[in-house]
Amino acid sequence: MREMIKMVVALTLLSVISGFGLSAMYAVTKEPIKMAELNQVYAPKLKQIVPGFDNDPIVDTIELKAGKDDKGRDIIRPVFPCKKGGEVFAVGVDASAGGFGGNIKVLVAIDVKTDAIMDVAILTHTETKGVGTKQEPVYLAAFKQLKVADPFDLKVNGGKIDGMSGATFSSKGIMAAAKDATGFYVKNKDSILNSAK
Amino acid sequence: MRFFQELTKGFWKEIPPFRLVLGLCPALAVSDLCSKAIGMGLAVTFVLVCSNVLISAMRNVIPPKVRIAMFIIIVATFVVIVEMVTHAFVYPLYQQLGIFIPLIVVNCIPLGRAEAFANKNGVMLSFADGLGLGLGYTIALFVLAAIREVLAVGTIYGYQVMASSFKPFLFAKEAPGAFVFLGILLGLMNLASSKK
Repeated sequence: MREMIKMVVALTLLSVISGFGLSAMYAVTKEPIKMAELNQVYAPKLKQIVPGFDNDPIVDTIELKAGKDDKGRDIIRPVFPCKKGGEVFAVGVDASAGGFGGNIKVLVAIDVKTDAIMDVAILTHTETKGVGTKQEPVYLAAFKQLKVADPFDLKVNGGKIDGMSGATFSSKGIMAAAKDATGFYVKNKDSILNSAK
Repeated sequence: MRFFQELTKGFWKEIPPFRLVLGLCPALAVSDLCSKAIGMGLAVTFVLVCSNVLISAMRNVIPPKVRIAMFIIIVATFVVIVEMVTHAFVYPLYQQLGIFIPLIVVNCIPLGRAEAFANKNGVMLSFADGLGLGLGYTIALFVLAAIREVLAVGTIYGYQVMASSFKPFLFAKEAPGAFVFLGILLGLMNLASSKK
């Protein structure tokens, strides 16, 4: 009996200490992790797909509520406003959707004057390396100048855009994420522009 | 001098993953580039040193019947710390290593050293053991990665070493190539020590 109590106490104590230690570490690294992702992934991609903004979209990020998750907490989605001379001319919206090997996270840049997609970039993915790499620039270029209000889709889904051959699931994932991002933009355009001022 | 012995045994006599054929899965997966190999090696070293020191300090209060569970809690805690720190401060490395950082938990090296060494020896010796084996693992990964990177990309740690006319030998970069080169190194090591 004494041995049993000793085991229970030892395991409990160790788990509690480990739990507290980790939650402290989490609190310390939470902000640096978020900033690292924004600066190392989002910022370079934004620069690549939106030419000529003079603000720092990461600093100016707008956070919008996008409904509630299944636990009743607000889902916060970031929008990255790109400004020139203090005026917003484009926004970056991110979205993710399932591909072949996990979620594909894409960033869609939308021109706020014409409501057209400026460009699409992949933020993170876990697809098979090398498959579809060659057609990727061609596929992503097909999104340019699409109006966000008009429906667009892959040829296999009855639309007009060619997917990447050999990478159908990745193509579908990117398409779904792009649609999600544009849909979010269409729904929230006014509040985005209001809070970007 | 025991301290020194425990430290250096990890460099040749018990060098993982060659001598203790443990920790093979990440060794094969991250040894295609030198930068990844060094990052992985250092992450494992950190976990090994911390878990060895803590386990040996606690070896008299750990109830023998639940020792494995307690070792795993300790190792897992340090692995999660490594994961969060690399995610926050060395993001490119975090992206390259990906799933192989959390997988250090089930890597047999830290658990093996806890059971075979730290549980029976003092804090200083366990520290030396962890540091030695961790650095040995780093060296082994680096050697394997250097060979694969030279053949597959023509560089070592990103520096060009092959002439630009060099045709990359892509097999070295793929998983089967990793097995073949690991096997060749293992064979060479056995050959070298059998002659002594």
